[in-house]
Amino acid sequence: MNSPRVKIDFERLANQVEKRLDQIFKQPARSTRPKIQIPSNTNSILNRLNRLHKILLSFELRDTDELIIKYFNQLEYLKQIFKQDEYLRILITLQYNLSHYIKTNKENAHPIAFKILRSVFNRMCDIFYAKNMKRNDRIKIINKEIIQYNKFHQFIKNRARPIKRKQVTSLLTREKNSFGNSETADQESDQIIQERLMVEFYIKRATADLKSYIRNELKKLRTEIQANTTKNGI
Amino acid sequence: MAFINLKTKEIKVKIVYYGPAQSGKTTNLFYIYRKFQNQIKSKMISINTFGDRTVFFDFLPFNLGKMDGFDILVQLYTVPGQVKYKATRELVLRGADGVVFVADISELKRKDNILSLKDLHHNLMKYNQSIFNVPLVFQFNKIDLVKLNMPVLSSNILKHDLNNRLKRPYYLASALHGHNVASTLKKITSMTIANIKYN
Repeated sequence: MNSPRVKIDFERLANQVEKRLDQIFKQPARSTRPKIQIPSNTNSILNRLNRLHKILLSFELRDTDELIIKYFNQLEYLKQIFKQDEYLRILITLQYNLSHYIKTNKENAHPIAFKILRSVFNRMCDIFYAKNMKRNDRIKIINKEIIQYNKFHQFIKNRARPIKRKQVTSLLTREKNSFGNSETADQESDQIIQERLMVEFYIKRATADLKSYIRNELKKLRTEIQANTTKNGI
Repeated sequence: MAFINLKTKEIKVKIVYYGPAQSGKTTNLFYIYRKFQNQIKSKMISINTFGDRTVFFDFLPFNLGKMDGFDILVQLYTVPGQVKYKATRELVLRGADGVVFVADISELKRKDNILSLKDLHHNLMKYNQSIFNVPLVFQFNKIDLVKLNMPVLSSNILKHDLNNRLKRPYYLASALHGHNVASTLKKITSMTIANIKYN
């Protein structure tokens, strides 16, 4: 018995699919960009900004640890208030990251970090006070700050990392264990340890290079073998 | 090739998001999943490595419901864009009924876009399919970079580089913000369904 033939009209089906997709993926009507809402308690915000400003000014004069915690608290508050405003939020995030860097590095924090932090804060105030500032101008200001921040971030990343004390001590203890003589390890100068670390680094790099070279050669061989097999019809 | 089951009255369609590394293929799928989760009632499967790079593929199936007596299932896949995952790309592309080519509009990715399209062409040929016949939609992604004053390729350059001979529909999109993500999906799905009869 033959099964009944089923005819499918794919074009009609495609039209129906299109309609169904329209229903499923109906985008909510784009509401106009929410305007920046400055909360009614403007005075308290101004107070907070003033406080932040004072903290910033005293960063280099007083104990940074305590100040940074205060700074974080103020930023948290402002973050809540300006959660509707994407521009101010970005600037607050930048400040947050910079102050986090200062907090973790303490006295070793690069002085440029303070400079950038101050600059970001000033731009935040500029945007906050200039209520009629155009969107493009805001974006320009933020872009400048982001570029500055990124440059700094890259600079910090690329800066040659000094050998950490932990690494040195671990090397020394390793030496002690291997020689069984505590004095020999103690006599090792920092220079030698640095040299050893460099050697380790170069060995690692060389092995990585070798690995990639071997992989490439293997690839070439494989393709050659494949080409030969197809030529010979194996 | 689309899977049509006349007994259970089911049509399965496979759509693959193709493109260079970090062009936003997974972001497309993730946006669809996140934004329309309640409508599509499905789960997204994604295998990522460190730094959220796709290792194998992302998979998002969803049911469009009954139409003309047929249940239509759409399966969205992404391929890993990184050059080293060539074999995986080939495998994921197998049996694809439609392709969305997600191109990165940033200036630095011009060469990558072209190479990836060539790669798509070669991989399709391996399955006896031609890039000229397969339903294909271009998505020129990351238009939000324009707002950030980043150097981007103009749509004319992109059309010239990628769509000069193919002449397929294209969308300027921002997968991150969802701009034209749904439109791209709608277009490729309807094109794919309409193309089934030719297969």
